[in-house]
Amino acid sequence: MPRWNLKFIRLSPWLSHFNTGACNGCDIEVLAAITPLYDPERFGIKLSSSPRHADILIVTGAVTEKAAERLKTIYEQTPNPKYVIAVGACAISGGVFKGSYSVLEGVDKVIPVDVYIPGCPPKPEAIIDGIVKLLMKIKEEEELYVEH
Amino acid sequence: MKTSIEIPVGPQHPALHEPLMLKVRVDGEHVENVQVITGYNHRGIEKLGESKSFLQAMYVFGRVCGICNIVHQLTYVQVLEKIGNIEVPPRARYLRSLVSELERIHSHLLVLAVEAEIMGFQSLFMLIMRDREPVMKLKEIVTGQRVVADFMWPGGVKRDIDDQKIQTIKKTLDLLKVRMKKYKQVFSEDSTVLNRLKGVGIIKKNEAVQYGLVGPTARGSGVKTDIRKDEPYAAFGEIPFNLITYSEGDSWARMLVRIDEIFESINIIEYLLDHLPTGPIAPKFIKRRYPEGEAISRSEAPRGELLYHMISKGGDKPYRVKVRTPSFPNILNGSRIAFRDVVLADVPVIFGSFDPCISCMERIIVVNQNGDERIINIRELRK
Amino acid sequence: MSSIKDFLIEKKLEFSEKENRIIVSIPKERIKDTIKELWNRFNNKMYLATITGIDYIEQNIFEIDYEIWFYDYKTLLIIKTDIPRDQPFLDSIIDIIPGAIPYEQEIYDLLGVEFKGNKYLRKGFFVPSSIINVCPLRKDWQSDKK
Repeated sequence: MPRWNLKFIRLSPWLSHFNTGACNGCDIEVLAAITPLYDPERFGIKLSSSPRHADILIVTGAVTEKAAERLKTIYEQTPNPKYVIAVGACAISGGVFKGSYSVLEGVDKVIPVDVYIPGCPPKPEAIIDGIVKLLMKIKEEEELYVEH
Repeated sequence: MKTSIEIPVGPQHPALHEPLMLKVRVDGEHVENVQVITGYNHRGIEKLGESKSFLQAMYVFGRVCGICNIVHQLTYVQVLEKIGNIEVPPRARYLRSLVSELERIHSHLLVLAVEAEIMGFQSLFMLIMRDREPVMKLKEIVTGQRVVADFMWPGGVKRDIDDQKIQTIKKTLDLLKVRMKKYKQVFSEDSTVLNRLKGVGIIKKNEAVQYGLVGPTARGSGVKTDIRKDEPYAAFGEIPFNLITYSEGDSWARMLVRIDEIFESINIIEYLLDHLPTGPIAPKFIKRRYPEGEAISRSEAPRGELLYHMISKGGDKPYRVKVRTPSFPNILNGSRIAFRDVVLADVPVIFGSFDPCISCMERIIVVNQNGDERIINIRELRK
Repeated sequence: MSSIKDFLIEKKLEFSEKENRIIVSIPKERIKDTIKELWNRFNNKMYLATITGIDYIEQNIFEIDYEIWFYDYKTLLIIKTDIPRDQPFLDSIIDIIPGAIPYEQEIYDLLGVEFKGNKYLRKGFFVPSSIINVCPLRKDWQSDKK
């Protein structure tokens, strides 16, 4: 694996959000999490307009088969190094939609996931907490590079 | 030489029942037609509901849409109440109206914010989202959850409110009223808003009827339709309120309908809290099995008429549940008629005025006739 | 409400009533004509709320319900019609009520009932490509996912 300068991501992670067939509950909470009351910009978190500019992909929803193709494309379009956060019960295991004919039951069936945020839907505080946990994980990775 | 380019918009939509893709065919800047590609959010809920028991299905149908989950669950339990002949106690009916109006306020605030963001009015987006948070807090106080509440039982509701909660609700809504007056002024006077919305995406009244549009989209074209008035459910038959219509039929009228409806909703909630009857909020026993029967229940979701049609063949599972969400006619039929004589930059604004919430519809791929793809940003488009 | 009843009596159709609902059964050949006359009589006073398709596998029929709301009379008219399961064809009404296009598309995709005259019908409107040849809402098809 090439040695990325992970500091760039840790200090200012850009998010891209993709709905793979969620009920919008998680989506409005992701949207609420970037608004002034929760103010994620204190961690340098910013919503990017295109996955090509993003460092972290936030995925919500139960992953329908049609959306799974799109999700793969979007994951490929995101530049390396990239991280994925699965938000909500549906994105983790299919949630209440488990067993339906068009649902793949979980983001990790399609792309690798770094952080899971449970809840139906998780609160904005939980989403920010999940992102910050990922940032700590990135910091650990950085230190690993320094040691070797 | 005339060349037309096809531009797919989407399918990243955060707040839509079916996050869908628009294929916009343009000649230069002028939109020739808009085709809607569906299915990205098709979760097979109607089939899934048939394999669950009546009470399990209540939780599935509450998650058809996270924004209007309360009204979805309400309409579902209303169908069950019709089939099972269950009486709802008056206090429960009032609480049902209360939460569905809270939901309407937060949903309308969300679409106002998103429409502001699409217009490029970032500060308005942030301000409205800030004022929406207290309403979410109220929803949490009343139902126990910010978004997906699972507040209903067949025959009642799950949680009661006390005097302290009533005072908090009143205080918060008084503040919201002051802020809403400001936003109404912005939406009716600010030149950015008027330039982007006035006369854009006009739907005539007779077209709105022919294409079966519902909710604020139809009311913006002057169609007098509101299920709360037409077929009163919960406590709406006992509450005085006004039906808001605008005759212009453009995107601006659709947004103004929503602003005025927020004022009406605040008045409804104040009336509900002042006239809240005492008594039980749910029956002692929750029915799990329902007799054979067929029922249709309708209610006014924030986006328009929501219809549930259930067939029960007895036992503990529904035989068939049909859900007609308000966005279904509004988006699929609205896209057929609203995009005439518009330029490409108007497409997101008009689409946003149907309330599909395209806040994260950020990526647009331009495909030219050779099939080459390039990504452009929606923000570049609106410049 | 009475003028809708007058119309139905005029057309010699039997109907039943519930609160503010009128339920009428019409043979499938007469669906298009009846809706056309209804639309001409109540122009701009009614809209098509939805079309529901139900699979009654025991009777070997599909039931198609047209649910029409009348603004002024505050009445929901439900027109029911039966079609045999082995011949799932019905006349399209999109040239009368253009708002029916997505409802007919949905029923074609999920239940496999073909509406003659609707050129917008296509498979894969909702269902994913892996099960494009089956109709999910038919009772004889079950998903193998558990």
